[in-house]
Amino acid sequence: MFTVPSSAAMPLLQFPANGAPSSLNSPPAKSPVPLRRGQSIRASVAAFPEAIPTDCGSSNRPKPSLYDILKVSPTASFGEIKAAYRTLAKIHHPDQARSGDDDGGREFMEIRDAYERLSDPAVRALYDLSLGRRRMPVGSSGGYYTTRRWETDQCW
Amino acid sequence: MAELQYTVASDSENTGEEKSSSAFPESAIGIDIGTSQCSIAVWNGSQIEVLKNTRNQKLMRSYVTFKDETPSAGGVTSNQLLHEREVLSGAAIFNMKRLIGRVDTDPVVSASKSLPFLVQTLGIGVRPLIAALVNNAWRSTTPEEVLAIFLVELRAMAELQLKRPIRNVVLTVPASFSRFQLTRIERACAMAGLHVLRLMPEPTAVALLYAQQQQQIVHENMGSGSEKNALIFNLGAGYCDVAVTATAGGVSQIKAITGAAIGGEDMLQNLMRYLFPDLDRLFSNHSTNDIKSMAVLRIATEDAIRKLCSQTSVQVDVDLGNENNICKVLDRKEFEEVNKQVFEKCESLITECLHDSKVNVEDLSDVILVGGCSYIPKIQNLVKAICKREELYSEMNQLEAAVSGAALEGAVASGISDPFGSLDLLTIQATPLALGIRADGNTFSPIIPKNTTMPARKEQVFTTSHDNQTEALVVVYEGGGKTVEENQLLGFFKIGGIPSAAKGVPEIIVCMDIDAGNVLRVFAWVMMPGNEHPVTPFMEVRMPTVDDGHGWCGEALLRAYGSALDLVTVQKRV
Repeated sequence: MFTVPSSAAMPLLQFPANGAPSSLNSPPAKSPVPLRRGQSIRASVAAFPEAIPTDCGSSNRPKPSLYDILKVSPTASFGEIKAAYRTLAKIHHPDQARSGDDDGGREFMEIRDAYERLSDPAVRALYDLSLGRRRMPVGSSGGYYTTRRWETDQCW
Repeated sequence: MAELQYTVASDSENTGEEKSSSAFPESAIGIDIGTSQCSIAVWNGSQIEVLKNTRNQKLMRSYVTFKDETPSAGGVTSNQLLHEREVLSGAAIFNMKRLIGRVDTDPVVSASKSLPFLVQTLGIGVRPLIAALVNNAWRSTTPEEVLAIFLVELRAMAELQLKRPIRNVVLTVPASFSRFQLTRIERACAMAGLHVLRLMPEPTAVALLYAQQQQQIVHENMGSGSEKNALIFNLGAGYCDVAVTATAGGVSQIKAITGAAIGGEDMLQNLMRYLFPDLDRLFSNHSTNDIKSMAVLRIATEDAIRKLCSQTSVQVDVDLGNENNICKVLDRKEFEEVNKQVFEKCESLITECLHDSKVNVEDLSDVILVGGCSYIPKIQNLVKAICKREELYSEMNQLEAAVSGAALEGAVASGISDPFGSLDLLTIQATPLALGIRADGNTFSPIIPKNTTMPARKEQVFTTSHDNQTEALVVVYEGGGKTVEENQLLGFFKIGGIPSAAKGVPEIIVCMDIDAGNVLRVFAWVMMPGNEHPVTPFMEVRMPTVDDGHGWCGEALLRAYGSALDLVTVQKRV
């Protein structure tokens, strides 16, 4: 006979009822394992501000441009941008079990955001203006992303 | 311990061969639990294989019969060759997918009251009582329990055929399911000892299959893999789903997705009422004779709908007993007129989805129609008319598309790779429903809008509605309605420690995060002008938190706190 305990203690899916210790010493919000459904998450509340992309942060490191994120040149066509987005999505999307990224999709979200902004002509034009005003980061995108890289991606 | 009965697979059996070269054993299986039929498929190392039960069926009726002490999933096992009438005898529970995670004020639940088994509603916003007729007694159960029993037998069937323990599954779900309903599905899977790797909205599973097919064409023709837009329309017994996908290079990006709890079951009931207007009166008592009459009528109506797919009229002859006879010629036009509202709803869903996707019908490469109701001529015609084309996509089995997509996702999500690149696939999902909180009175203020690419993280700034307000309630809803009452309550929490200040001064930031596993977390914190850091610790709440009685929690909060802890939206900071 066969009874289903209605309060079946879910032996396989363990939802952390009060897990997630929020001690100040716990590791940053990056989860130690790829965030898969039902796994317990150890995101420290104290470290949370680091995980939120804030524009007001006055970091000394030059922020990568949206073009850097998509690994395309600032003159890339819309088709090239779209192809680059797809290529990168295949590598960085958290569903790609092979990717080994364990950032819970942060990198993909950044790529997605860059793609969304650059695929809107008006937003892209404004962004290009702001880039010009700021200064192009010397040498960061120059020789690193050669045109060949995204030419091959255009094939599909 | 009772749960041991369900956990057949032990973890140790798998860990040893985690890195083995044989990719086959670890592939998660795909399950499509339909309202009326269910199927199961797996990537067998080179292609998708839809499993057959011992009766050689790929599609199994989704129902569980309660007899004496042992419930059994009739559609899966073969030891009892149950006649359709026995399914409708009151002893079997079916249509679980229409009942799971719904409260007794839900119209979809009310529509289930004319089913042979007992669906009792008190109309107060709690879960309905569901019971099967066993030895002339109504024995209660729950949709989750019924689904779990069904899944246990499905699992046993698959384990026997694949000769390996099965633990990981990818399930397809309707696009319109709320996160609360998804937790109910997960609960049922956990009860059956299954670990849910992904819950995929049905049309996105179809989109993945389409992406694979397109990828193969590209490989074979060595042609250019330009981007293809496709509209996917899925109409089953219980639900209608629509999605628009953009596909290239094996990547399927869901551009828009929508759905509703409407389907073949509604058409069946409408036609039953048309044939026998006295239906609700006759059936209000659920006596054994009533159930028998209802079964006769249901079988005859279902048969008529099926025949009207290929012929323009059908003769209906039914003897319901007690001198209730139906003898009528029913033509296709009548059937279409009776179900006008269902068809109109389908049309509006397609139009809405196309609009949201910003894809013109002229730019659609393919229009894909799948699901149990895709054979109905009116459905085919309306899809063709809206999408302005003569032909529909013909490369898919309409009944196996969703489960095949789920099997593909199962293989991809299990990290299996294919030497021929057949699994070099990715679906980029979008949120089928908006997520937000209650603000500005009873308004639903979306934070993550509908059709946002997942994973996603968005935040919005709110402020206090009263002077010196030191606490605020964050009440989280999901759905498409403008007011909170029209949406599904997911949970709520209070944020305290707001420094006394004039209303509108404190900034309460609410951030919603959907991670890679589709888990929703809501964060909230308080900022004060001049302070660089939050003045209170962060709140981090995993949603949904509501478990039961979710229908009236919103009202109860309102009664207890009025508008004292209300929030007001602030224009978004750039």
